[in-house]
Amino acid sequence: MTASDDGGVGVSVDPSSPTPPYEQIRAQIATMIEAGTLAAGTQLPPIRQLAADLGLAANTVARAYRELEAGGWVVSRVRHGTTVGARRRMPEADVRRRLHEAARGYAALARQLGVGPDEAVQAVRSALRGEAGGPGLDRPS
Amino acid sequence: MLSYATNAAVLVLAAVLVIVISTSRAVSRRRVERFAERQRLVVTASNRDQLYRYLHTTRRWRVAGLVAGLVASSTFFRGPSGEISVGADLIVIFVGWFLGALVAEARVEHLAPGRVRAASLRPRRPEQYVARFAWALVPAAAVVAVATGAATAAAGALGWAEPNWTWAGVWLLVALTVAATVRAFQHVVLRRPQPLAAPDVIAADDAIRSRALHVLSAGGAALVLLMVLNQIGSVHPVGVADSVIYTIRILGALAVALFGWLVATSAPPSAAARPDRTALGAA
Repeated sequence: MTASDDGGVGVSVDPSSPTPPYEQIRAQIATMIEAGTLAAGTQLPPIRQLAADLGLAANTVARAYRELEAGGWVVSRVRHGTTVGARRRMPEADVRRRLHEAARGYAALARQLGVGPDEAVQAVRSALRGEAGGPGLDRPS
Repeated sequence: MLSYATNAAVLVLAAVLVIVISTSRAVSRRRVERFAERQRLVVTASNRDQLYRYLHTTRRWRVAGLVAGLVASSTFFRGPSGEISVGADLIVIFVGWFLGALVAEARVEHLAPGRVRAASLRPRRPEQYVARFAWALVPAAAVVAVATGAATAAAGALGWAEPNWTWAGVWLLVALTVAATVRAFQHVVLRRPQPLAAPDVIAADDAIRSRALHVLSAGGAALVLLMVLNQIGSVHPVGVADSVIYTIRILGALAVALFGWLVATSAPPSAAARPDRTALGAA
């Protein structure tokens, strides 16, 4: 999941990850829906737009959307596109729990790398801003 | 005959020179500033190159198209006193310019995805870049072409006109082909990749997209309407002098040119009218 620099919400795909790209997209969007970041009724971008933006084949994004639809996360209708379906929001406690779990994992990695707390926090802040080699600084070809 | 060939060769040579000279020159800073001013865009160190590249690509292909149109439409004829004159068809020149604009839009560099590929979940809609009215122009012009074709057929069947059926059909077909092609290019521009990037880079990309859609909407609609004027020229209504039809076509072409220019240079939707980027645009 990526906080885009324009203030909106985005998805990211790591081509080197062993997780297939469609699953990376599906998981991020599902998490955002569950956390309430994507509200019910929110329209998702057309398959071809998202595929072009991510530099992926349209089939990859189409599969992610199909899996989301099969899981009841989104609703696809002809001429209306794909919108987030009505779904119970993840309880606040679960959001906090998952965030803290991820933070603990990150803290453990920082300790293993010998990185101090200040630098580790700074790295998180930069990542949230899309900096430090993130997609936010990539230059056009 | 030799003098005609010599004149044609000189014309082609001059055209090549114009293309080479005009496209090898760097885009001026003033031109970038004008573009930014019209698009209400702040030029930064991050998006400056992006703008220079866009303006250079569009200028190169539009000039090439314009000059090619000029050469293709040029006709040599010998005047009453034996001198050789040259004439040009403004519509063919416009067609050349517009073809160049289409090629330019197909060749404009788009933002490339980064090492980790990231994209916004905000759907891109035409009204973010061009007024709804302008976006509807090309299909509206196609409807006018079909209506003109239907009116021609009806007038011919009722005996009110003696249409040249071949040309009436050809111009209708050309008008619809142009409309379909331009629409396809508009969708290509809308779907150009826009991976996540710094806000000023995204703003420049939006401005480029807006400019492209304005040019395609205005130029495409104008070209289709010029084909409609050709359709009108093939109607031959009974009892109406050819000079009247000719005058209508000339005035119509001037009106279409003015209309196209006004749409092409119209301001993009204001920042306030654009969807809030902090929201995801609930349907």
